Amino acid sequence: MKKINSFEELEKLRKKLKGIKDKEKIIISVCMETGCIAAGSEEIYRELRKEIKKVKNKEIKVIKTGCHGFSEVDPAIVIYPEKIFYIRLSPNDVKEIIEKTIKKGEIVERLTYKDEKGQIIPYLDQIPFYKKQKRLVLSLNGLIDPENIEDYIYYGGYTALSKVLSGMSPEEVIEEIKKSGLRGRGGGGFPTGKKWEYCRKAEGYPKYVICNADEGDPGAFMDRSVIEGNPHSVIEGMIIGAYAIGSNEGYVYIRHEYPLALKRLKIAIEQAREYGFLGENILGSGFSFDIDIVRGGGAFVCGESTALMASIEGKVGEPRAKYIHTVEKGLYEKPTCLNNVETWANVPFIINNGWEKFAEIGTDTSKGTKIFSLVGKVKNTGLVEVPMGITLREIIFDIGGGIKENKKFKGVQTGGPSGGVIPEKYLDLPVDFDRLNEVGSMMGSGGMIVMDEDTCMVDVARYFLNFLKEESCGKCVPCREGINQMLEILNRITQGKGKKEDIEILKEISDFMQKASLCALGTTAPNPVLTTITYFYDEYINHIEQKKCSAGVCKDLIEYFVNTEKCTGCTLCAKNCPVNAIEGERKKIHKINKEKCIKCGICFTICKFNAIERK
Amino acid sequence: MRKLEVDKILEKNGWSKNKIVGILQDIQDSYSYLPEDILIYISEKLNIPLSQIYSISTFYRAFSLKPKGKYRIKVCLGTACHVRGGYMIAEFLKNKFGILPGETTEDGLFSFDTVNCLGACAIGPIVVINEKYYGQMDVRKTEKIIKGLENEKNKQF
Amino acid sequence: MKSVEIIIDGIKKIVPKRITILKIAQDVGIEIPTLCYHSAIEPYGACRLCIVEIERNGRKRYVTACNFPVEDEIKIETNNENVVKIRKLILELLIAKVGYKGKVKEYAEKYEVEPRFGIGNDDCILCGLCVNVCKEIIGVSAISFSQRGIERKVSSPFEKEPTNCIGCGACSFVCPVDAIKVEDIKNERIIKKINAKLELEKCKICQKPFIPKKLIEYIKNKLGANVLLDIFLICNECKGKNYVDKLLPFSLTGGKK
Repeated sequence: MKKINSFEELEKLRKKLKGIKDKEKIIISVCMETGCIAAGSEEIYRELRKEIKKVKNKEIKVIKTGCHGFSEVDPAIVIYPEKIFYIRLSPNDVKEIIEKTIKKGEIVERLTYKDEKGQIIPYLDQIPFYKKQKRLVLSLNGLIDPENIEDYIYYGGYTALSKVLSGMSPEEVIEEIKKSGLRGRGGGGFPTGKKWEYCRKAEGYPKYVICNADEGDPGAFMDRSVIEGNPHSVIEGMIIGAYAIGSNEGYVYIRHEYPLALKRLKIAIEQAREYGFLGENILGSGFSFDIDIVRGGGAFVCGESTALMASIEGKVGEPRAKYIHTVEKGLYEKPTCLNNVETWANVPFIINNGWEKFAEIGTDTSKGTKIFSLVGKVKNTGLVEVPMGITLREIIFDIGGGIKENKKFKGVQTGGPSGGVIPEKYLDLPVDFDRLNEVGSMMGSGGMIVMDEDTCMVDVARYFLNFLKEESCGKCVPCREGINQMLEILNRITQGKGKKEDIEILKEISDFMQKASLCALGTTAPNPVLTTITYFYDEYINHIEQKKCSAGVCKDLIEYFVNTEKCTGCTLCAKNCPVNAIEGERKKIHKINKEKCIKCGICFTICKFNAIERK
Repeated sequence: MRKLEVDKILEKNGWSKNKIVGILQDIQDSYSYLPEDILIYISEKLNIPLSQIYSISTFYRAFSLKPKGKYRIKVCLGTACHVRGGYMIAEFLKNKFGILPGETTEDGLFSFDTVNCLGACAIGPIVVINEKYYGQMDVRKTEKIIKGLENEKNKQF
Repeated sequence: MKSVEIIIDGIKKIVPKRITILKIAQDVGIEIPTLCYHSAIEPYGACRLCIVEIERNGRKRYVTACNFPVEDEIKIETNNENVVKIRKLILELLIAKVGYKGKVKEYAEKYEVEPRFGIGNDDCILCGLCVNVCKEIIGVSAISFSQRGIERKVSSPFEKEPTNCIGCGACSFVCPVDAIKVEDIKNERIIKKINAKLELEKCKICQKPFIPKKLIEYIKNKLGANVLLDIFLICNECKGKNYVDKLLPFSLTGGKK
């Protein structure tokens, strides 16, 4: 491909692509990102390619795309233009799909989604999971091949860049973003336009733009999905941002735990360079900008801006004081504008459609949409993009379909280790930056982990502190030693050795860490502890006073034993015990060897006669 | 000669001090760990204090100073996997192999690590063995896979 | 506007912009406790003991005095109840780690800390002074932090003998809890904490081994010539006794008598 040298050439290319693509009458899109591949979508894709070749019809095309979001039903395919949605496929299903749907236009009912009542819903848009969603950032996920820049261009990619470079001043771009009300999607929710403005006005050169793709919050994978499904939207956003602040150099800092996202991003950047969207004199505008990829090293703390920048500089990811902001003194002590993946990916939409279109979505203080990864004990796990202001109930029960196995909802964790657990009484809370803060949690990057009656809230608090103990850089005393002491206390409580005054001490250390820690990892670390103490106080008391874990999670407080009246000696439990802790001959009552038992609960779930009990 | 391979990696990274984290990533990818002699060599070539390289090597979870096993098992301990019982898989492997996360079995067959979220939460609990993802795992399924791998080894001999 | 008016513990003062709170406090004679700060080294902000409360536009927050640059009119409280509470907890956590040692002991007594989390026995509080002095002042970087979080420690590369350590002892000199001990045993200098072992050069006068050979090499390289080099080859005791009548002619003769 020859480099595109002007805005006109870009439009010419788009027209040419239209000519080609409009001939593709049927597109079968196979979702191929980390999650779907793990579920087996590669095999489906291969089989489809093989079988389609036999059909010999150039109007049918099989493409691999980013995720459609409904991970629960992977591997799945979407057949365009009708958007027929086939789920939980195996390679054996492919022949039938070709014979019936592709050749005759019939629906294969057994492969469609069925709702609670068993009603068949063959079309993607009619599935409850998608009904309340509003897909701006994810609009092209599932529609384009992320490894083919021409797909992106065909669907209007790089028009925003073209618009900016051909007729907007940097100040106008900043004004547009400011008016849109876009706030940083990485956690804190700082107004993006303001950040750009500060950085533009800051003295010093070079200036840098950085894309934070170090999505570290456990339970969050929005950014991975955006990069794996539509990497050019991020690149385009970055180029526009760079133009606005006056930068010619950018970095994407991406987690090393995301090999596929890294690969697709590399391909995308190379293609963008080849087509002339990156490099010298972009689209003949005179503006130059390029992007380098830096792989993270596996450190959660590098999601913190100063630690991330230290890491790019080739140092240990240790945060430093931010009394002078990074927009003024960031990477290599130069003005730096850092936004996360989702924030950058929102930029092209705002430029293309105008700030009004963006600002009309959302609440007073939080505009646009937000992507959440809806996971945990919810029926429909996956990636959802919803307008700001939607309630938690709508997300969890309407989109998510409620709790798995119809158990009781207990809480939803947002904001990762910096956030908190929100209880049932706030299910009707409209989701936006400020409302989540008000109840002690935060938006964070968008992980939403649903918890049911089998989740122990003391264990959740302990889990996050254990996570942070491993992820704190260890530089400042409050974070390093504070987490350690809090974790010791929580470990004691989950072992049934807690004292009532422990709760007060946890609160005291929390308050101290919020005030005295060096970076946000430390100041927000107490949130999971504080919210669980506030909303699930009884559970703490239960552990401390009754030495009981009602959820049956804390191992030291539970015991499995065989109900001798119910045991039939079927040996099923003994066969399935991974540590051979169950003894007993066929047709004789079995016994659990307490010394060997690791309390994994497999026997408990597997016994057909409910003969294994938990105390 | 190892030096040539390392030089290639340094060349690819433009012999740049700032790229040291990326360089170490490439070394880790090539050797499955960071051999001490190579770190000393890089320190001399790029004129970076060895202490700084050591500091980086022990700070980031992506690096290991010891060789990894033939089968590298990673158990995800992200929140979504945790609430679905992922920690039990880690507990089971600890018992099974008698090693702690980060260590390798004596026969060099298995190494076992825990990771804080792989971002495939929807199909958790996740176990990754040599870059292959296994979704919706539990202790039983893990045990089966491990048994399979052990048998494979026995077949070879 | 190059300067700004602030109030520190009730005292009004006009100060240059971007001066740190710690420097202002020193100027007006207010003592702020520190563990990881040293005037010759870039502030590190790790121990957080120098935390103070500042008020700007009615909003209160806590910042570390050692590295907070004053930008506008703020009110600073260096020793109020809230600040003391934070300092006490920092010291309590440090006692849980290392027990009563050096400056931690001194401050713990001053702030009347009653430890609830036990009395630890580690040697090091991880203030970073040794690492930073070696890097910034000596320019050697023989040691660094390794690991992270609660596992973090000061160590030599691979916990082996650091090949570039010159045995200057600066790390030991700056340590607030005396965790790094420098011992000269016969003709060797041993710094156990960082696995360093260095051969000593003898004093030109009394023949007692006293200075690491590597240190002399290092100074030679830094100075680039033999100018007055011999001054480093005479131990402190001999210097005291013989400086004027022995050293000078000794040096001028280039070390030959």
